[in-house]
Amino acid sequence: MVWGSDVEGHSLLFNINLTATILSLTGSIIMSYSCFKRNPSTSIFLKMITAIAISDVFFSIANLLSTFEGEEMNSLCYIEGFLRQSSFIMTLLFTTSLAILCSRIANLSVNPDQEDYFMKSLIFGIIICLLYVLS
Amino acid sequence: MFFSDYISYNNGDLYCEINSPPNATKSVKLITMVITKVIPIIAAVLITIFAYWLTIKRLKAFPKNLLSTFGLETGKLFWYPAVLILTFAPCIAYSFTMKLLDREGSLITKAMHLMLTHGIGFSNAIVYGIQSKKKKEMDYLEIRGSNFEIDDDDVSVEEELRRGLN
Repeated sequence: MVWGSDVEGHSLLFNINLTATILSLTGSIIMSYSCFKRNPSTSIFLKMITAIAISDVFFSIANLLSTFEGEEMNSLCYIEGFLRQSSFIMTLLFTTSLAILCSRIANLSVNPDQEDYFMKSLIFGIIICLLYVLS
Repeated sequence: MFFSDYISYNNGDLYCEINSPPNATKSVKLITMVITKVIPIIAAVLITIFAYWLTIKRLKAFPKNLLSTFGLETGKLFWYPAVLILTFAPCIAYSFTMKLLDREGSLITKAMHLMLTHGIGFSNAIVYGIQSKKKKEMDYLEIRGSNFEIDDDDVSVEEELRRGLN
């Protein structure tokens, strides 16, 4: 596995990663479930939080995949790398979009088109991810 | 494809990610790290802090009884950027140690990075879970129709606030 024995404290690090990943995966799945249960289409805040939760699920899956990596580069490594970068970007993007939305709504003078705002954030995120992969 | 050259095992870092090739020069390593990690993280943290600061500034202008009725505590909004910093600061620190200084990070740095950055779902679930609970309270107030007393001048603000929260 990637967690080679030449790395100092490898078993400790392996266990820390596994614990953090399982906690992260559990937390993000529960968060996604509770969001879907409350029907995210009713509120843009819920939509944004659901998007953050789903991104976290993918980020956790990427971290979990590293547990199964071999010593050599393989397709799993590419999938992991792509998942890691895109979910990382999506988490950051939706967290930032949520903050911007809060400030716009608190400003009261702006009443953003909710569907439009969400779609714009999503498309922007996808474009950035593609740029990372294809540039 | 460029991507395939730039995705590699972080030797000793224990996972695959978009990364500079092992034989890259220091400047290429720095540029790759800045583009893939530093810029997105710092931009997100700064924008988030600024946006919530504006939100808090605006909310403080609202009548206090209105905020307390909705259970809004403006200070709590800083939890979100705080979680971002807490989650990704070890990631940047670790990358700088590994890529820029060409040093094996200490065990503590690695452990912090794995614990905090890889545990992002957990910390987000805690923070956004709390917010979600708050939203339920707001929904409840919305459905039942609040019967708090407000001045006539505050009516429009209250309506706008409700509209915004929905």
